[in-house]
Amino acid sequence: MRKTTFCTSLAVAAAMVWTVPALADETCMSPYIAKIQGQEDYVYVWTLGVEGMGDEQDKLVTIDTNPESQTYGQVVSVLSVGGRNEAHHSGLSDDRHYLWAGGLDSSKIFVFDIHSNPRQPKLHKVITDFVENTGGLVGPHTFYALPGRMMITALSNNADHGGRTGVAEYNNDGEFVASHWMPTDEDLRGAVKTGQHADGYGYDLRVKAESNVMLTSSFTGWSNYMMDFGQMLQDSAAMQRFGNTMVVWDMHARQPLKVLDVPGAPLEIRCAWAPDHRYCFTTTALTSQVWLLYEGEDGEWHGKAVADVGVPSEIPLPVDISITADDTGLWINTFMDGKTRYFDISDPHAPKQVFEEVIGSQVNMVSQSWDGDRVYFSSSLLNNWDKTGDADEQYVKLYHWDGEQLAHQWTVDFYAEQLGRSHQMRFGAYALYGKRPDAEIKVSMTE
Amino acid sequence: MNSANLGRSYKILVMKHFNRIHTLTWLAAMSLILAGHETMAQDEILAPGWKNLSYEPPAAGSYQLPPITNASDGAVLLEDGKESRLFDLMGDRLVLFSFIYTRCNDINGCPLANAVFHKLQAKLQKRPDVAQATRLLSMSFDPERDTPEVMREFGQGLGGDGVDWQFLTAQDREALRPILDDYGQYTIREYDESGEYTGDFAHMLRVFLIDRELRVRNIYSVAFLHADILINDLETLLLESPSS
Repeated sequence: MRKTTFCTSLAVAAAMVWTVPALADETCMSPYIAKIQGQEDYVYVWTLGVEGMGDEQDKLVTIDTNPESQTYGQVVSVLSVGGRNEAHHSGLSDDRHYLWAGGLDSSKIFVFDIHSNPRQPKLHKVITDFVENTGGLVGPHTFYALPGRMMITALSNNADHGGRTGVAEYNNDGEFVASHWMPTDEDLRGAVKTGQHADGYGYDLRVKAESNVMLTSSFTGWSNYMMDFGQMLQDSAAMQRFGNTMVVWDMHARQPLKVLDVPGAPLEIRCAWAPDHRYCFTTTALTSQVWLLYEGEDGEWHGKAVADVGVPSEIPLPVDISITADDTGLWINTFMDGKTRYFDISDPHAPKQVFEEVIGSQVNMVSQSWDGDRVYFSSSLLNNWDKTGDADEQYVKLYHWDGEQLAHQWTVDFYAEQLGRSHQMRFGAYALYGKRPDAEIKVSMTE
Repeated sequence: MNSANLGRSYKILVMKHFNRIHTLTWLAAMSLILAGHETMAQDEILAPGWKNLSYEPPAAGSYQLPPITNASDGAVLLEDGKESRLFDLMGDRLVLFSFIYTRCNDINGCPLANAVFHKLQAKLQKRPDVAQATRLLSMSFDPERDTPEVMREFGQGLGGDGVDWQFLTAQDREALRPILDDYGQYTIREYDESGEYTGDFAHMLRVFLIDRELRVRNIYSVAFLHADILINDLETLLLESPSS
């Protein structure tokens, strides 16, 4: 809980105008955004449209998550954006007024206003020139807030639709600021190649401000993530086109410093919250390992594998991960077996799995409340990579976690409700805006 | 007094005395923290700006600060009560622009911004070449209480020789609103359980670095605001060619 007041003073007042005893917020967002103290009121689900289902469009689905509400656990808003874009990840602006959501295929970015009426988001802006503005980046993925800005990782490029890519920087008005391409063998951009690879691939991004370090991970390009999953697995050339690196950047200078070998497509990055915990975790999709990225006694950042996830030879495919606010636990979802696993990371150099449970036939994303009591799961990975037939379950599920067991609370079936494939989940709360969920708004913004 | 007690005492002190202007006391408390008593009460973590930077920052001029957006104009009141506009105070120098209110008691909020500016001021006094090209602006978003007179008294406890540090306010909330909107400086009034306004605001700390072409070149929040970073960024902009 200490980090909430460290990050922003906004959190303090939010609790005062909308008093709820529990502290809560997701733990995997940028720490440089406004924080919620209190029960999250809504979860916003960036959802892929499915051909032949409902309006077939990508959409932002809003689910009521306040247990005191009469519509608790129900969909209260559906905002379609027109067409399908391979809806994937989303992220909140630093003031949490807007939710940015990307399309990996169209490279469009949809900016939703979630503060004017948190229950019914509005489409505020659509950025359609991401590729042109960034000099050829394709597939906006991670949206990571910095003060007044949004860092956006991309997965691909428009030259060959492969994995070489970079990071784009936009201001909060949705205007392009700068591009930062990943270092490659051909152009290390001043970085030091420490191992065998400098592939230039990208995926996720996190910042440890205390160390002035930005980390990026690597996945695969448009030609792979838009391919049928089964077909890709049979294509040996395609299977060679996955990232094997992470890059350590000088955050302030946006200068790549080191390229680290992290074989097997390192995906999500989660950094410890405590200022003196100078380390982050990732998991590798193809080799099913937990990796620790850490600042050593020499002041340099290093990477090493510290645990297996399931049986790596069975390729359980680790996907989303979520670190607890006290840096002691890490949720790791594995897509193929539909399991979530909880690792004790009290010793970050020796994580130990202490719990596992099947969430569904497939599972991808996980978001937890700041106190860790509530854990949300969603199902979709990519349109062409999700399972088929009866195994293609699409849902958002809420569980309560008591430290030992998960207790299922509710499920929203996204196929039964004709919504589509549920992907990234982000939390919203009235308290952030000095509002209350009832009609009476006690205070106003921007005095 | 151990460090934890110092933290609690500091907070109580601030809450008592910020009902009226008492910058000398505030500075005394701040100086204790800056002197090395870095651990706050158990429920507080001091922002990096209160402490020594824990890494070697990139050297001035070794990096770029691409323009983020354009600065915005607006009607303000100077410490002497005269009407002015923000653009009258920008353009001729690099500007560091901070939003504060004098009653603010969040150790990692406005007091942090003031403390970092105060530390920066000391650095600038040793670098007159940078100081002559720099202006610090601290603008209140509480115009009802922070009148020009209040801002002047507040500033008298903070400003020093050789550095242009001005303390601004607005005529009223109507005049203030477009400035806050343009800079994305959202504030929320805080109310107690009986619905009475406490006099406090919740807000996200934001400090803007504005170049002489009226472009925002960096935005700092709690995690990034530090005097060592600020002076390097100022120097980086000064090292740019005029056409940059």
